[in-house]
Parts: sequence; C-alpha cells; structure tokens
Amino acid sequence: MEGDLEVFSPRRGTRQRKLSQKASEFLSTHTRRSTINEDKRPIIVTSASESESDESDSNDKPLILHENEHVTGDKIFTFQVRKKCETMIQLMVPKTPQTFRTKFKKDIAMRVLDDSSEADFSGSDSEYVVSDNETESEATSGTNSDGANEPTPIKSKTNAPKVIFKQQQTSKRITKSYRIKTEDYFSNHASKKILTSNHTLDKLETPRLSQDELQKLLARIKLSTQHSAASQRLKERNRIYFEKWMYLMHENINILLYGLGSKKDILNIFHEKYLKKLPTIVVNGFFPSLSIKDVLDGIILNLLELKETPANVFEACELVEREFSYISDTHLYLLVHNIDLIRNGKAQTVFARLSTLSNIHLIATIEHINAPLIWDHSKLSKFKFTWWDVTTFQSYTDETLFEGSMMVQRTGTLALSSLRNVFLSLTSNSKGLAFKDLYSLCREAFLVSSDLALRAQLTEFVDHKMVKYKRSPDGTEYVIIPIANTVLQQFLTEQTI
Amino acid sequence: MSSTVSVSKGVFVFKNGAKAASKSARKKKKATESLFCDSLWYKTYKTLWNSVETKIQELNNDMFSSVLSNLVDCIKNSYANPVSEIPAVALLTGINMPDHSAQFKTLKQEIKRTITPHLCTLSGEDCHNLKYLVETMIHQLVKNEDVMDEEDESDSDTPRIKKSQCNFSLLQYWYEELYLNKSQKLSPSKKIIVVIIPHFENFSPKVLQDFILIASSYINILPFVFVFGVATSLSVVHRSLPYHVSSKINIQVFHSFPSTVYLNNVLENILFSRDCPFHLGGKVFNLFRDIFLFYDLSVSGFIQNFKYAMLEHFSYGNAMALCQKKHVKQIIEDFTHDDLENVRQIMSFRKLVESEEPENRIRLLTDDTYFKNVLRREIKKIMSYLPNLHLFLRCLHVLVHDLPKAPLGKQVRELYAVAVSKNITTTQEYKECFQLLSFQSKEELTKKIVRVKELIVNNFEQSHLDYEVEGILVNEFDKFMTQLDNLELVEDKKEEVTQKDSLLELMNRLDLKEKLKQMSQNKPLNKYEKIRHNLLNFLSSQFEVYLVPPSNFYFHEIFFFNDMSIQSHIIGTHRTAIHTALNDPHFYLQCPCCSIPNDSVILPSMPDICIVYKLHLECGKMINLYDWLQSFLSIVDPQELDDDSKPTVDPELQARFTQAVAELEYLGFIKSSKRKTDHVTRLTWGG
Repeated sequence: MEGDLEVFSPRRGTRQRKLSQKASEFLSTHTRRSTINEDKRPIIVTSASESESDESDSNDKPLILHENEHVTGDKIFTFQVRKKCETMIQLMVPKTPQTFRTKFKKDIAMRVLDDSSEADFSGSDSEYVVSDNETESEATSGTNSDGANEPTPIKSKTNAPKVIFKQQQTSKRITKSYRIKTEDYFSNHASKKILTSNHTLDKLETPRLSQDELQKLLARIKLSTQHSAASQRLKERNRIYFEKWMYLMHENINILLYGLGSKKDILNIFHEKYLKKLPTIVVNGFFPSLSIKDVLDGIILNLLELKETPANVFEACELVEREFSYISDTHLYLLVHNIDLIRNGKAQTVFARLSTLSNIHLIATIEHINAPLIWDHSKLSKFKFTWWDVTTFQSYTDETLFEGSMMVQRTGTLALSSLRNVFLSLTSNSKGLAFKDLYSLCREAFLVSSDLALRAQLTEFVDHKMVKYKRSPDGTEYVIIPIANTVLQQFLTEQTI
Repeated sequence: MSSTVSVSKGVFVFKNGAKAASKSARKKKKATESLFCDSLWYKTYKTLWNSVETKIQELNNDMFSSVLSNLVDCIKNSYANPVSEIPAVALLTGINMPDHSAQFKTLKQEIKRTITPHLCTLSGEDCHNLKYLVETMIHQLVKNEDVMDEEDESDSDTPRIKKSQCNFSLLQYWYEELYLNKSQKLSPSKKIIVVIIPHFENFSPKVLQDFILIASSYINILPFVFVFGVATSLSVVHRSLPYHVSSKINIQVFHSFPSTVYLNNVLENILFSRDCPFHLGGKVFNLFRDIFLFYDLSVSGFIQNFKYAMLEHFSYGNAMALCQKKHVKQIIEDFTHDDLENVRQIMSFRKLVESEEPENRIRLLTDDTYFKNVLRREIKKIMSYLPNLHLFLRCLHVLVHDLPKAPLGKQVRELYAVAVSKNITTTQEYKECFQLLSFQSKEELTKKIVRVKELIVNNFEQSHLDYEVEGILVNEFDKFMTQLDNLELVEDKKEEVTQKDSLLELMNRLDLKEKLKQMSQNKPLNKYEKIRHNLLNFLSSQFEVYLVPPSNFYFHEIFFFNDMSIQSHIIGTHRTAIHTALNDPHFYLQCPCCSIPNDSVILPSMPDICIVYKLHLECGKMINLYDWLQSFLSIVDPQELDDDSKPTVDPELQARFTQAVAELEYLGFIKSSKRKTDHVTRLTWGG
C-alpha cells in the first residue's frame, strides 16, 4: 500500500494518509496556477451557422431551460471555457471530509488574499454540491403579485368540491437539478493507469454467492419499518396519477415512466385497476430473447385473430395500422416494461409508429440512465411522451434475474443441473438397459431361467444388428437397441394388432 | 391477474374482446370518447382544441400553398417537352423532419388531385436495399391502381400481386396495359409516375444511385418524376449522387419556410388571437419557446406541448369551462354549487375576497347567486381585456420591432412573453424603446403610425374597444398625422437663428466642452420634436392602459396557464431523478431516518443501493469490488472493525451488496471489466 502509487478506493482505512497527499497536491497546484493563469485564454469555437444565423432570432436567449448557466443563445453552441482548473485536479482524489475541506479552504483563501490575484477561487466548494436553486422557479412565479404560492387561509378544506385530479392539490415536489459536469470527464479519464488496490474477492471466505443462495438471502431481508412506510407512501402517490394517465392516453399522449426502482408493480396495479376489461398487451422488455415480431404477432394473431402475419415487420405494422383504423372504438393499451432494453432501432421505430395510432396507447418504463438516447428526434416526436417520475425504490428482482452479475457465482452449476434434468427426463431406453436388469426383468416374466439362456436368445438379435452390447466405464454391460423409436413404435403396433 | 413474468415469453396478450373488424363492419366509426366526455370542462377543451387544430391545419396549407403550387406546376410540366434526363424536384424543407410529414401529405393530395394517380412514397427504413425499394414502389403503384378502380368493393378479395413479384418489367407491362392498349380507343394522355422520397438523408445513397440508374434506362417507357425532401442542404444531394448518376436527373430546387417563420405565423394568427381564449402564461410560454429554439425547432412539437398545457389546464375542473368566447353567461348561470366551489379554489379569488368589504366577503364565500354576479362581472373584464392585449401588443410590435438592437425583441411572441408575465410598460426595455423612438425621423414615425392606425381600424370589430375609445384613438392619430404633414410647410423658416453668437467667445477647451454639452441638452425642441414628444406620450399612455399584466385581473387563471410543474412532464429529468434518489433518498422517501445535511454524508439507514452508489461516486474510472464491499460493510456493519485478519462476511450483507451492485449495473452506472480481476468500470463521471 505504501509507495508513490496513489490508491483510489472508496473510503475506509487509507483515508487519512491520502488527505495529506491531496492537500500537498492542492497547494502545489495553487502555486503553479498563479503563473499559468496569466495566459489562460478562453477558446471559443464558433459554429459556422452562428455567424449567419437569421437576424430575427439573433438575440434569443434561453430563459427557462438554461437559465442557471447564463449562456446566451449563440454561446450555447460553443465549447465551454474552462473556468477553474483547480477543480479538475481536486476531483481526481476522493472526497475529503468537511472539516478538512474547510480548513484547507481557509488556508488557501488566506494565501489567495495575499496574492490578491484570484477572485473565483473560493467558489470551488460548489462543485461538490448538486446545485440547489430548486426553489427559484417556484419563488419567482409567486412574486408576480398574484400570490400564487401562498396558502389559502380563507377556505376550510371540509367543503372542498370534488376535484378531478387530486395531485393538483398535493404539494408539488420541488425538483432538484442535476447537471453533469463535463470537466469531470477529463479529470476522470486523465490517466490510463488503474489506481486501485490489488485485492480480489478471493480473499473472502465465500467469494461469490450462487444465484439460488442469493435469492434465498434476499428474500429474508426486510426493509426497515420507516422505509417500508415510505415506499408505501410513494406507491400511494404514484397511484394518484392513474386517472390522469388514462385521460392523457385518450388524447393520444403516451406515458413514459422513469425514476429509481422497479416500476413493474405500478404498471401491474394500473393494469389491474384500469385496464382489466380492456384489450391490453404487456411486453417485458427485459425478457432476453424478445423481438418486435413477437409483439406484432401478439397483436395480429392473438389479439386481432387474423390468420396470417406478414414476415416483414413494416408490412405487419401497416397491417396493424389498417386493421385498427377499422375498429376505432377498440382501444389497445400497450404496457411495455423496460422499453429501453429493446435496443433494436427497428423495434423502436415500430413502437413509435404504433403509438401514433389514435387507438393504440403506449405506456412504457425506462430504467437505464442513458435510456432516452435510444430515440432520435423523429421517433420522439411520434411517441409524444409525457414523462412521469415514479421513483419507487423497489429492487429490480425480476429485471436483474436475466442479467448475469459479476458478483454471482457463474460456475457450471447451471449446465450441470440442466444436464441432470435432461438425463433424468431421458427414457431408460436411450440410456440403454443394463444386462443384469434385463435378465431380472425376463426372469420375472418367466421368459428365461438363466443368464446363459437369455444370452442365447439375444444372439439372434445381435447377429441381425438389432441389439448391441455396450460396456460402460464402470463395467456393467448394457443392451442397446440401435433403431429409431418410430420404427419400434410401428413394429409394436403391428404386433399388437 | 395472471402473472406477466415468465421465463419462456415476453409478450402477454389480454384480449378482452378485441377483434379485427369483419369485412362488413369495416366502416370508419367515430372514435370513442374519453372517460371525461361528459364533463363540462372536457367539452370546452374539446371544442377549443378542435378549432385550434383545424386552424393550424388551414394555416399550414396556406403557408405551404405557394411553394406547393409552384412545385406542382413544375411536376406537371416536366414531361411537356421530350426529356433526356429524369425530371426531379428537391424541396428544401429545413431541419425538422417530423413537421414535414404534413407538408408531404398535402403535396401528395395535391398531386393526386391534379396530376396523376401514380404516386408512391418511399421511406428509408423500408428500402435498405434495392430489391425492397423496387418492390415497395411498384407494389404501391400497382395497388393504388386497384383501389382506384374498384373503390368500395372489398379490396381484399381481388387477387393481389405479391410483393416479391414486383419488378420493373411488371411495372412496364402494367403501365403499357393502362395506356398503350387503351390509347387506340381513347388515347388518354399518359400520366407521369411520381416517386416521393420525403427524407432524402435517410436513404442509403447506394440504393438510390442504383435506382436512379435503372429508372433512367426506362425513361422512354416510364415517365418518372422524383421529389426529394431535403432537410439539410442541397449539397447532400450532390454528395450522395456521383456525377454519372446525377447526370441522369434534372433537379429543380424549391424552398419552404424555415420553422421559425412557421411558428411565428401559428402564434400570431392562431394562438395570440381572439379565437383562442386559452393563453400560455409567461413562464410556460418561455419554456415552450426554449424547447423550440434550443431543442428541436419543431412546430408540431410546440403545438403538442401547447395541447398538453391545455389538457393540464382544463383538467382543473369545471371552472375552466369559462375559458371560451361565447356562452359564458349561460355557463355561469348553469353552474352548480360544486362548480362554483371549484371556481372559489382559484388563487386569485382570495385576492378578490380580501379586496371586498367585510360583509361582502361572506356573501362571496357563501352566497352563490351573489358570487355568480361577481364572477360574471370579472370574467367580462378579462374577456374585454384579452383582445385589447393582443391588439396593442401588435401595435407596440409595429413601433418597436425595427429599433436598433430591438430591446423588446423583434417578434410579437417576445413582446407577449414579457407582457403576460409583468407590466411591460414599466420595464427597462420598454423605456429604452420609447427613448429610441424619440430619436426617430419623421418618415419612419409616420409610417409606423399609419400601420398602427390600420391595425386598430381593422381589428376594431374584433376587439372590445368602445366606439368612443376607437374614435378617440383614430382621431388622435389623425390629428398627429395632419400636424406632421403640416410641419413641412412651417419647418424651414426658423432654423439656425440664435445659435452662433455664443460660440464665438473665447474660452478654454474644458469650458467649451461643458458649454457644448449644455447646449445639446437644453436645445429647444423644434416643432417636429414637440409633436413627436406628444405623440409618444399619447401612445405610451394608451399602452399603459391596455397592456397591463393579466395577473391584475381576478380569475386570470382561467385564461392564463402558468403552472411550471408541467416542465418535468414535458422534458423528463430521468437522470436527475435517478441521481437524486440515489444520492439523497430522503428527498423521495421523506423518512425520518435518512435526512442528510449535505450530499457527501452516507448513513447506514439508507437503502443499500444508495450506499453503494454514494461509495462509487468517490471512485475513479475503475472500482475494486473487494474494497467496495469492505467500505459497504464499514458503513452498514461498523462494529466489525479489526484488520484484514479474518475476511468473513455475513452472507446476508454480501447478498445485499451483490444485489445493489447488480442493480447499479442494470441502471448503467457500471459494467464488469476484464482489465483487472474483480473490478468494474464506472460508466459515469463526477459526483
């Protein structure tokens, strides 16, 4: 562990030592920086289109979407200027405890004051924190002298009339903003060296758990009471949306659910509560060998009960479009779990096309952090999604079932168990029959009385190659009939008649 | 309900009575209604949306019509003279393909109506090789003919040509059958065959090249015309078609409008008009505008968002049924007690109550008939305010749109965004604008005043201006106009009269500078300047009257939708939600145990996946599983603190860790790595 190689690993153990290292680095960069900073020049690459951008919109600035970034309309197309070099270096090392950070910050601030050259230095702390200007939009909307976010004290809640969608009354959850910092990418990929310790899981007594064991152990684990109550609350909260989803889907707006945690339950409850009597197709995107053809076949063969389905996916799609235009009072609901795992572009095109139909409604879930990237511009415009955050914190047990994890034992257990199963399910015929078993059978049937007599009987068969003797490694002699089963079956039926 | 998880299949069908329509029942029925089709607010929404939709459709057709007629003419005349190259038309549509489908739909209808029934559309996804392309094209051409011939008869019974049999010789045979044989009797003019490729960029160039070469060899038999929809620039066509191919076609280029123009048109003609009582509030409007300008430039996307805002707005309840032009009186009359309570829930009702006398307050809250009267009065106020808002915004736009640097913006929409969120006449930009206006020359100003007057006169019936007010305005303008006209006669006489003497005195430079400065400031206004001053004052006073922010009115929420909570539904914050849930589970769980003062804190009570995630944030590119597990244990099970001597792990904890890691992998934060044993690669960066 000692030596000049710095080891990056999560906290515990080596924390103290690394701190001092980090600190020294921090300080050394600071002294270095004051010289570098003089000729730090922003590099702005202007896109060609920008210079000739039509004058009508030249002074448009994003007002809502990028308001925190203070980027004007033109600048949004330029590269970001590196503002703080120190943050990059800082971020290469794991986080320091707050006490140390403040201490060093003070220390540095003192030095900076001495230099009196840098003003933007003290802001480095903010790089750690997810910016929490969340209340801003709420606050400003309230200041429009309409008192929008003040409570209504006059009204007593008792005689509140029936409101169509309850969540309008529930307090809105303030959204946090999270921006990915591009600078961090470079600090993360600065060195090719892997700076981690050489420990392996083999140091553990049980390096890996088997899948069975894992399932058993996980089944035993219970959430803390507070968390189970909390997740129950989340569930209730999500359930409020159901009616709205129905409303929106009927206006040809599709629903996309995101957020942490398995959303299978929500969709299942939604299915049960609202779609029980309606034509519905549930698609498990996480099912490994799912193809879009299965979905289309499901619609064409099983749902519409047509006799044949075109082999080409797009033709099938056309067929569905045509058929559904005839039955405009039938609404089909497509529930797609993990639409992001169907990564095939063609499949997504088909989903997009289906979802444009006025009587096919799509409600899908995504889990992967980069899921939205599977849709391009034209697909998205067909999907007409509205996005719903339905964080559930439920574990992805069904979904991860199909995925191999590196923490799970991946020995030959599966192959072995399958072999065993196959072997068990084999007819004794294909295994052959041990000679002594045959003998005992024949004795019981009063066919022969001695070993030799049986052999004499069998010689005839052996000569005509209708029976073979085979010796297994453990020495037992097997009798095998090298004839196809069907032939034998035929023979038997002929004999019985 | 039966389980929908299985190891053998991934698609589960719940029929519940759905079935393909039998052939006899294949008539298009009206689509069924929504769940809420009985609700008052829903009906209001539906009528309003339908009218907006048809208007947008009309506008779309109007805007496209000029390009369209040129294009159609060009296609029509393409074979007027004998040709040696295949005529082709490139329509530069500008980026944003989804919006263009409507244009091509109109184009197709127009071509079908006026030129030829032989028309097919090819999309890149259907035609990834030449075989598919030819099959698709010929199938469409031949099939169209079938449908044309025997319109209402059950088309499925006719022997269809199999797609796999479609080739050029079949097409040739079919075409000759159609025209050559009959030509002996009737000799109808040969109709051309139009092939539309709406998304040129989407096509594989190789396929297209081959197709064009083949088609060009049939040029004397089959009169093809190509229409290419080009989203980027014409150079794409040149790039994907080499000389020996492009020499076979003769391309004419047409331009359609950029989508910003289209959006401005939609906004000014439909959404900012008296026909649409539903208005977007400033914040929401800016959000949609930002999405348009900085995300997708898609007008259809904008309209989609607008629709969503409408849905959201009207679903508030029956109170929103008042958001319409007519029948408001009747609706208020018919309101039940519950509906009125729904209205009372509107935020600005509170302000109304507070502004009233104490005895009236109680009546407002309890007396439904009294409240109805008040409501009627207030709604009427807003309804007369809205048309004026639009009218005067347009007038203001005429005045300020071409000012240097356009402080208030160049588009009506920019003015709108300001005017509905705050009092535009008190803003800095507005003052700047009027300052700039006060430097304008007579010609410029006259022109503008004429336009403003026209606007007011033309829109007079639509807006709710009183006759008197209109009269006053027009009179006032006329007065100013005559004054300005007369100015020319008077003006020349007194120019440089008294200025010169003072400058002659000797003084040092500083004094001179001061003096000049003073003179420039205190220069007496000439006649034109006086008129201009008065005119601008008059205009400004009018704007101050009519361009008040909607929040000045009670119940403005009925007409203005300004709920920013829809942002998260329109632009999903998928990554943010996951990060927040993992990094600060308390935010979602609201449990007493997991609240943390700052993001770097890890509590043992947090869900496992959160702990594992937060630990992984501290790592670089690679993560050692063993170390990760150890740090996980140090948090979850801290009493086991001795050194590496006995690496036994509670299997239950190991299982929890394993599951959490598997879930992180599933979410895409990490993946297993072969570079080092028992390591995973981080796929994200930063914390």
